[in-house]
Amino acid sequence: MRRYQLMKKVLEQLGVEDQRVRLEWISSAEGTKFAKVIEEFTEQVRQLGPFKQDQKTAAGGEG
Amino acid sequence: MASGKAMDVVFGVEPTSAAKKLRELFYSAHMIHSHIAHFYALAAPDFVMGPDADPAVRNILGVIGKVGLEIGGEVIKHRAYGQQIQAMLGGKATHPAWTLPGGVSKGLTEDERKQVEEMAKSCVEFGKFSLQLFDDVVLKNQAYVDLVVGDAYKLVTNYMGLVDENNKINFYDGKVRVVDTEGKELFKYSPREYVDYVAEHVEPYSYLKYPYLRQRGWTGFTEGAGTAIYQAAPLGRINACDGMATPVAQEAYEKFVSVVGHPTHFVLATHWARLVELMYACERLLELAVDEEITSPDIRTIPTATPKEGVGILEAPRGTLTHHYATDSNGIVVKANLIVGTTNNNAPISMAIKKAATSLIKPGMEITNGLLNMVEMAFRAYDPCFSCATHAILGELPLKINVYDSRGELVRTLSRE
Amino acid sequence: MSKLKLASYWAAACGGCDVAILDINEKIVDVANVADIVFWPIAVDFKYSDVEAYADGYIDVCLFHGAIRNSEGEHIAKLLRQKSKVMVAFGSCAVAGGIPGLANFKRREDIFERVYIESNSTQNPERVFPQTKFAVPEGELELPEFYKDVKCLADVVDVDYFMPGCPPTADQIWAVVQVIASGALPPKGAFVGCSNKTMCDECKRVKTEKKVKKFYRPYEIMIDSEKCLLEQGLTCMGPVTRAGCGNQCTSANLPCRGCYGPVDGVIDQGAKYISALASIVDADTPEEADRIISQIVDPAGTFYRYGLPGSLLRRAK
Repeated sequence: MRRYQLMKKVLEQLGVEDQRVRLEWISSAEGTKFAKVIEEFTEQVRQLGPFKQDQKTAAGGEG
Repeated sequence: MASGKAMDVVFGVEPTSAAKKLRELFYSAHMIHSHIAHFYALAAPDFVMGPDADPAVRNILGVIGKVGLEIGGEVIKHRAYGQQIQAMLGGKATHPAWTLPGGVSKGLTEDERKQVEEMAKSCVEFGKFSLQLFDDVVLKNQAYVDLVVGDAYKLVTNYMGLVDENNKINFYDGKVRVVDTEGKELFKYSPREYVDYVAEHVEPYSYLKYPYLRQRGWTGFTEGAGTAIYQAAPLGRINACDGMATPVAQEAYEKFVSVVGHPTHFVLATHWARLVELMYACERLLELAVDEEITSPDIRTIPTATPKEGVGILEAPRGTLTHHYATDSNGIVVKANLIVGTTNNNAPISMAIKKAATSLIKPGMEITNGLLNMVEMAFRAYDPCFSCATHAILGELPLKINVYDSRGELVRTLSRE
Repeated sequence: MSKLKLASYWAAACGGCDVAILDINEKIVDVANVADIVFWPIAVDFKYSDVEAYADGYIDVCLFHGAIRNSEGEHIAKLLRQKSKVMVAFGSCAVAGGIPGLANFKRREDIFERVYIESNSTQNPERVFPQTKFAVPEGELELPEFYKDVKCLADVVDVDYFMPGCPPTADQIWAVVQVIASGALPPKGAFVGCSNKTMCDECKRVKTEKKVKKFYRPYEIMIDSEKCLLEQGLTCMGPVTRAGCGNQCTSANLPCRGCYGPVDGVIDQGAKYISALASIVDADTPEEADRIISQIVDPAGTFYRYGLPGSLLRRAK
């Protein structure tokens, strides 16, 4: 948990948005929950699209 | 060290007296290392081996071969002393982790002090030897003297350097003094006022900016009275001061002035000025090594104010070094502005190269590598450090000279690419 | 046996690595006895054109320092790779990006805006920026292209050995030169001039129990010169940094800054340190842990001080 807190802080400084990182505890018996979380999270990241830096590069041609 | 001084101001804390002395001692050792390295490794090859010697021998190893292993050993030994003293205090000589706002992280023990004193004594003798060597190799050779005081390497500008309250050179602390082309004081400023006096111009063909005297406005690459261009580094300092604060260096300064004048506009006189400064650094190192406060454990004041903003200025070997930082309330830098030693000399370097090229290369003349090197000597006098100066850390600066004939046709390209 | 041919070059570097080579002091003469220096811009006046004229593989060993910031650095790296039998990434910048790599926290456009427009000594009302090509009456002037990202040497050429340090120490440089001269080369890809232990393994400071209730920055406390720096609440990178420098910074009574990078097998020094640091936070509740962790004010800048381009994320996104 502490690792996660510290890692989030580092990632935030590195421009990785909060919504791209998620911590869940799922036991081996919770197959349905696992599938659901992965699906949700995949969709969420898809919505976010590429990192801002890469978006700027693609749009502005400032490669 | 400049960032350390800026941090004192950012944190609103005055370093203890012992800490200031330790920093200056450290910094004198740094000057010794840097000036020895430049003079013997970068400047001496041109004079000892000759400007048109083969590049394979026109280097430090060639110099050692010619002056003898024994003298070569002395050169290496004293430069190493400079490094050892820095490492003794800062853990390592290059990029030491040592200065903190309000002081330094480690002091000097009595044992270490004794070692520094011995090294400093030896450095003082070596400083004298280096001045004598310059005398023998350069001043007693009329061809070299003619080169130094000739028009090819003359550039008339203003000059800048840090001075103490008596207008003597100080590398670590004081006010920045600027004199005009006649050597008359234009102004003196404190670190926090730098932006009122210095501005930087941008050209599309350089990553490095061109500083000039703000009050005069950008005058372009012009020399002579009224120009906004100034020079820093040893020549800038020796012209901007009224003398040296230690006895042997003062003697050397007086001789310097009697031969090349005050102010002097001869770019190659920089090498001599560098040796006068080396002498001062050695003597100052010794003074500080025997200062009774130097082993004091009182080396830090813990800051209590909320950090905000500050400017620190000192003399880097290659010119006046300005560090300006603004921080958040945790002391994390959010904005920085640096005017680095070599940056000050960006315009003068370009102008000196052009002057040397147009003076030395005449119609009908055979263009040789020796000639190219003589043009480069104008450049090398400034001991330029372009990676720091651009902030972008670009590495080596390629120098390329296109020689055109009177009809504008390209005759030959001389290149250090 | 013919003499070794040595080359050294600086790309995005400060010159400190060159000074470190000079710091082998009198041994530089011994080097000259066994080797010819065929390219070393700071000390020997050979030009790019001389290198271009060498046969492929003519140079036995090239010590390349500096990160790759622009097209010129990449061009010369490729040229020297072609002309050298052995290519060494020399110093933290060539190995992992080093201090110049911190520029990867910013975008290129922001760097240009800050340097050429916004900084308060700059006078540039016409918004002039450096151009890669600029026409003047005498012809066209060229500048190398300033890349979007700072890269490591291994990002642009094949590297045989890695020698970390900011700068590498003179003793280690001398040891490596001797190994090279003996011909007994280590396996390709090896880290040389360093050990595979951590700084902590070699540190002589007194370690008791690693539990931290409060983190400090060095200026905030009087630092005990005997005690473990981490236990004093300072973010010392010792636990995740390769040893080999001789504990220089800690001997100056300041924390290790991590310039030798991670030990073998660790991909990301910062991530490893997150793990190490989190495990010593002495908190009873998540809130308390949060409060203690928030005292580390610049974790990314501290953990990736010398290695952002060489890390997993490579730059700020």
